[in-house]
Amino acid sequence: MMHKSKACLLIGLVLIFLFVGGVLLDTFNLSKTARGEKGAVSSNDVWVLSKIITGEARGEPFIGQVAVGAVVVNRVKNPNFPNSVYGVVFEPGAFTAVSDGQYYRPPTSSAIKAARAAINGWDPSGGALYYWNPATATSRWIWTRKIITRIGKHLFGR
Amino acid sequence: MKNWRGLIIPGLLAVALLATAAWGYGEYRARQHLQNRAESQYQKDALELSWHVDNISGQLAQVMVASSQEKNVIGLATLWREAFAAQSSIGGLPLAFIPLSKTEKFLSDVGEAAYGLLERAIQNAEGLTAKDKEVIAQLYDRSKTLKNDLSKLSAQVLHKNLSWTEVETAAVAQNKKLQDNTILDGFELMEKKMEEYPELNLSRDFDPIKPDTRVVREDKKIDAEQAKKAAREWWYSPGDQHEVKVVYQGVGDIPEYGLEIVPSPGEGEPVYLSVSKLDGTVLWAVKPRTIGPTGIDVSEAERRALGFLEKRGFKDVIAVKVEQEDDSAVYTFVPRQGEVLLYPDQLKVMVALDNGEINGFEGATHYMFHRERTLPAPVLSEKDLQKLISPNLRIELVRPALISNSRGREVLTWEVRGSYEDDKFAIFYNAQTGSEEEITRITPPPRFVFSAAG
Repeated sequence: MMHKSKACLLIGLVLIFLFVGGVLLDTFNLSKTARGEKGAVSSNDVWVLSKIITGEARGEPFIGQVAVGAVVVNRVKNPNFPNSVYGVVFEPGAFTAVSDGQYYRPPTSSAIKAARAAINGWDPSGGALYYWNPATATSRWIWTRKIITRIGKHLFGR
Repeated sequence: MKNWRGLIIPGLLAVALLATAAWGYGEYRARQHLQNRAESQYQKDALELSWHVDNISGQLAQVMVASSQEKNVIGLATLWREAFAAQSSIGGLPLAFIPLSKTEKFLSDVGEAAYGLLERAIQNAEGLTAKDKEVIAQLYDRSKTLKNDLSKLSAQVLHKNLSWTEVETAAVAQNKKLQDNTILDGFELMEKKMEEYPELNLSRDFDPIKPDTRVVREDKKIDAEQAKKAAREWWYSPGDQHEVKVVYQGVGDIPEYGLEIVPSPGEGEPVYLSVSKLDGTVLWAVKPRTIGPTGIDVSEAERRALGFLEKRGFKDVIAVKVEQEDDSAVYTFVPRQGEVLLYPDQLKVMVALDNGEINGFEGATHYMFHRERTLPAPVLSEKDLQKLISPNLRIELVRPALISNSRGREVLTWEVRGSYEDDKFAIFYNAQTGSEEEITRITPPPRFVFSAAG
């Protein structure tokens, strides 16, 4: 009888500890510290672009990251989309990284380099306005786009 | 009590349960608050969109009936502003799920037409021609449809208490078709109606030109092996033996091979290039290196960039812009035809400021646009030009330049570089008519420091 109640007490304490720990993590954002190199950018656009690239194309080859950035830049230049980098990035529903909060994490240094290249006109996507992952895309409409190229796990199209 | 010990665990668990419930309720309240904030933002954007489209429709009608030049100018300026505002509002709605290309194209057409006509209305005292009025009439037709649909939708949203955040949730759920979602259906219907209108033929003045690359360049259609050879010999030198991989092939503006030069041990990162399938020209190249502490200055970097270009056949190019970040500088170069700088044919070179190594080359624009042109002689002499320049500008240099104006047409101009207090400008005066084609502010934008995660 004694062993059983001791075990229950232990389990109860562990649960409470986990619960309290979770609340604290949530409150103080302890899981989201940023550390890393410093760099200066010459405008907010590169900053915003590097964050969207990190959120959308983390782990992609460098050229794939530049291509994602170029898609954003191409949209800014296109009359069918908002006229600024942040307008394009924050269009509700346009990028899953913004909707699910991935965007709000600090950018990787590779993404910053990619963002600078994309803002300065480098465009491996060949003028694309859309990109999607063929393995996970659920929208049927995206497949009506003309495919320009494939880099890494993304298809790029217009 | 004899068994109080047995009540400890249930007691603790009960407390934990109550605490969880309290926390859960707190979270629920916070979420409601955020949802209300989001909903009110969307409602605001939707109502503003309706209001701007209403204004556009009314303003188009006003332009049709106004007969004086000044009223035309004010009307067109208002139209241009409203079109821009409407585009902003529509960009704030959670409609990425529905492609609204025809609707958005309409709004941008209104803006483009208004701006183009505004330039003309200011220059000609007669105001708008009959053809211009035709364009306005067509835009007015479309605006009426849009206005009616949007006001019907707005009324429904208000009276039936429909929710925009529900639309957003539907968008996130993607393939799930939301039963009877009035808002989504309303916008889809509006887009369908816009699709039924024929493609608006804005007069050729408004269409930006984009030359067919196959006319400018040959169309030999090279294969992958030739492309690889072209890439390695271009980046290094003839006879180079680096291994090259094909990463992708593209069929965008220019059909291309995306290549990667595998670095030899000690060379660091790979070099990525794009080579045109038409004739093997290298379109762009990037080497994403982590750059060390600054070792060379901006003028030395410019010399390196020029050397890089000269070695690859780009002779007689002038640096027209430099964008400097902490560890690298991007130079924009343009070629010359005689004395005239050719801005549409620009090249960009990225130089690392630690050791002067070239980390990037952008030549796709040059590839698409550079050709031998017949340039007219300027009608406006340099002396007459001096009379046009504002006395507020402290002039630094004057030179002839070919630019692509806001309408996308190539125009021969006089470029005047100068400054006013802390701001630097490049002003371009049409060499035939003397009108101010472009004013560009070239003061470097403010910089700030930020941190990256590994």
